[in-house]
Parts: sequence; structure tokens; C-alpha cells
Amino acid sequence: MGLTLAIESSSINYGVTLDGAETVLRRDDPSFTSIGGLVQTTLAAAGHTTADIALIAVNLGPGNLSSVRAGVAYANGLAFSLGRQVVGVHGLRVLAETAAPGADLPVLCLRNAGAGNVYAAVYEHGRPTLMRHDKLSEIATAVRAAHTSVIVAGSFRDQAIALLDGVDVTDSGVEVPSSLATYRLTVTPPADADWAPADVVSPINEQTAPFTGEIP
Amino acid sequence: MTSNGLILGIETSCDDTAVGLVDERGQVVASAVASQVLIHNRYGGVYPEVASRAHIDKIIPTVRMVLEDSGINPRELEAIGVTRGPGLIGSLMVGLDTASGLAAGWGVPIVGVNHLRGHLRSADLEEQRVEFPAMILLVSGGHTLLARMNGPSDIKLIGNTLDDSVGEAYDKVSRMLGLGYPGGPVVDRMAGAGIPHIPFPRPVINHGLDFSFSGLKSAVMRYLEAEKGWKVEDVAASFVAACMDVLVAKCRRALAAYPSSSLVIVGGVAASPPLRAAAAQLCDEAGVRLCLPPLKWSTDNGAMIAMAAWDYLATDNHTPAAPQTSLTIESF
Repeated sequence: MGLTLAIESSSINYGVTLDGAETVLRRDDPSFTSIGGLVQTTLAAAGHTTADIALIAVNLGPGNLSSVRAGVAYANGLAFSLGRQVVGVHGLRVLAETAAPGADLPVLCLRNAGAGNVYAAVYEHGRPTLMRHDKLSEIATAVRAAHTSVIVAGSFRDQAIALLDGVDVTDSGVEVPSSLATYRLTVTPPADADWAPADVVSPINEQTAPFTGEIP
Repeated sequence: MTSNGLILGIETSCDDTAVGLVDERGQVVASAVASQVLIHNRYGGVYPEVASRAHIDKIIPTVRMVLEDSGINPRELEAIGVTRGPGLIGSLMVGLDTASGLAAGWGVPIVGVNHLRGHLRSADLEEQRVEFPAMILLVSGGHTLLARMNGPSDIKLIGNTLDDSVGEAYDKVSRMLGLGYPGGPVVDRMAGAGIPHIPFPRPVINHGLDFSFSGLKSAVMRYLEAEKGWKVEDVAASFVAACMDVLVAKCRRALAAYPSSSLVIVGGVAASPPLRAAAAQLCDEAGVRLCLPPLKWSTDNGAMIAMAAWDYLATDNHTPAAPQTSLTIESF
């Protein structure tokens, strides 16, 4: 049985998980060259080659726009050249899995969207009950109306906690998603997972579904 | 057929997703371009963020099309050549990271190629046209420059634009005239039906080998604002006449300063009928061979990147496949 390779490039912490073991390297580390370089290093260290890969998984974002695209482009290219498929997982779902896998409480996931906005989702038992690209204050208003307690993960956690007056908030301490979470969601997907192997995948940002539903 | 002796070229520096398969003699085995013109037309120019996203969606289908057309085994490729710059960072990254994934899976080398060198080498695709030493005029939406070429890898920049490229000026004038994007073909077409009676400036025409088109573009804008009853065709004809006068004057001066066997005109604006006609006349006068790539190789394409990648292998030049938004024509 072949290996599953999971790729994370949505933040400054690039990550690769191979067969359940994660390697993380910051993009500003002098030894970092590219996501491809990190994959090759990880494979070599584990005594494998690309031919051993059976499935590739990647975080589709939202996150850092350019670096998400780097990861997705590499994953598509590698999958095509190997004749394998690629699984793209929503970046906020990966963040929820990173911060609080199997949590009973709702998980509020936030990523910086620039221009004063955030990408936000609330996951309850792995299912999204809120998904918005908006001001953090607007997100907080929606969360206060719907929940009495949440776990918060991602960017702007301190500001979110301050805005969630009256809600019992647990700070996950998790800032960015991990490739290990993408790996888990791919290898053991929940029954209602909305991701599946495909020939190619596309990144998610404010111009795509589910945030606006269309490319401008 | 066998893939031995073939390079796969990938070009994503701007708004065309292009892939080509070329042998060492420049024969094009397969080529495909997924154009984004219809996408960017609504913005009146290239929208970088949208371009990058479209590359992600188009690049694998375009690679697949070229491989299916050729029937080759990609694991036997000599290398993958991919544009590393200059260009839009988000677009370059998609090409480079996709190529990196393809190269890793197929187990073939990857070569980062200077897009400008790709344009220079486009003149020899399918047929050996260039006689060295050659004078190169590269005219496109992103570049306007003159270079001296003593051989495929021996290139010296001798003139460059000080501001806008001529292709950019075409696009902006087209927008001012309400003609849409891209501007080159439609402005040339309108110019063919007009009278060039408006005395637009010919910036820096009388000295040196550098170019400037910003002032010309502004002059067109001021004319349109100040005058009433102008005809689109006459404005286009007058603008094109100014561009051609400058381009031809610079080529004439360059050929006088650097005696050459051929004048090579490459880049998207090389498709311009007025430029082709003016260059033919100049070359007749100067006794120089005119080398123009077929129109399909004038605009961005993957075959020219594959062609240039052969020069990198020939000189054992293993340039990193890392994005560079800015590169001179002398860089590998």
C-alpha cells in the first residue's frame, strides 16, 4: 500500500506529512527552497521516493494567497506526473482539526484576509455552521448570537476573545493549520466529508465558493 | 514517438498558460496555449490575481493536451524548461511549482528560463532564421529593448525603455479609445483605416538607443481631452505612426552602431503589420536579413521557453527554478 503525502503551505510554516510523520520548516529558514524541496527532503529522510506516493493531500486555503497557490500547484503537478489523485481540504477545516480534533464545543476558525477582513468559520462536530469573509466585529456578532461557548483558533484570537463578550471562550493557542491535520482528514475522513480525490484541485479565497460563490 | 531529445517548455509569466514540446533543432512537436484574453478583457488589462488563479486551473489540462498530442513518454524528457521571470509573481509561481511537481514525479531535470531569452529564441522555432551577429528588437506588453546577439547564449543589452513598453502604450491608448484589451491588433486595424495627421511626439527619437513611450501615451490622452470631433481611426493611425517612427529610428541607429547580419523582431508587437512593413523596408535599405517568427510564436508560448532551455543545457547552466519578477535580458 502506498503512502499519503499531505502538504501545508498556507502560512509561513510550510509542512509536509508523510505516512503520519510531520516535517515543518519556516519559509524564512535559510534551508528552505520551495515546497518541492521540502517534499524531496522529507521523502529522502524517510527512505522513500515519489514513486511510493499513492495519494496527495493539500490545504486549499484560505490563507497566504501566493503560498497556498504554490502548494496547490505543486500538488496538482506531482499528482498528474505520478498518475495519482489529489485531495484538497478547506483550510479552515484543517485549522479546526489542528486546533481541536474531535472537540464537542464549536470551533471558531479565523484567518487574516487582509483589508481589515477575516475568513471565518464555525465548525460543530466537523461541520461548518458559519462560513464568512467579513469584519471580525461582524463575525463576533454572529457567533455571540448563536453560541454560549466556543474554542477559538487562528489569527486575531485576542481580538476575537475581547469581542466575544458573554461567550465562554477557550483559546486553542493554535495560530496556523498543520499538514498533519490535512493528513488525518484525508486518511480517515469523517462520514460527511465534502472532499474527495480528484485529478486537480483549485485554491479557495474570497473570490471563490463558499465565500462569494463566483470568480469575479 | 520517443521523448529522448525533447524539452517540455512551460510559460506562465503573464496571462497565457502555454506549453510546448521542442527538440534540439527547434522543431516543435506539440504546442498549446490557454489564453486568458476573454477573462482580462473586462478589466481593460491583466488582473494579476485573476491571472494566477486561471493558470492553476489551466496548466494541467494544457500539459495533458500537449502530451496527448505528441504521444510521448514524459519520463524520457531531456528536461522541463519553465519561465522563472520576469513576470507577475503569482503567475510565475504557479508555473514553477507545477513544473517542480511534474519534474519530481517524472524524474526529469527542471531548468528555470528567462522569459526574455525565450522570446529571442522564438525566431529560430521550426526554421533556422537568425544569422549572427544579430540585432534584436524585443517589443511586447512588458518589454521594449534592443540587444546584440553574437550567439544563442551571448547577448548584450544595448537599449531599453525608460518607462512604458510599446505594448503597454498600445493597450492604454486602446482603452482611451474604448477599443478594449488587448490593444495591439485592434489599434493597428483602426490605424489602417485612418490618416496619421495628428502630430504626436516621437520621444527620444533623435539620440541614443533607449525608448520612452510614457510621453506619447500622455500626449494621446491630452489630445482626446482637449479636442472635439476626433476620429478613432485618425488617432490610432497617428499614434501608430509615432510608435513606428521611434522603433525604426532606433533600429536604424543600432544597425549603424553595431553592424549585423540580421535584424530579429520578437515579442507580441512583432505581430503588428505596420511594424513588419516598416522593418522590411529598413532591412532592404540596410542590406540586413529580417527575421520574424511566425505570428503564433510572436506572442507568449511554451515552445520558445523549451527552445531557450536547450541553450541552458548546452552551457551547463542550471539556473534555479525560483521566481524572479525582474530579470535583464543578459541574465540566464
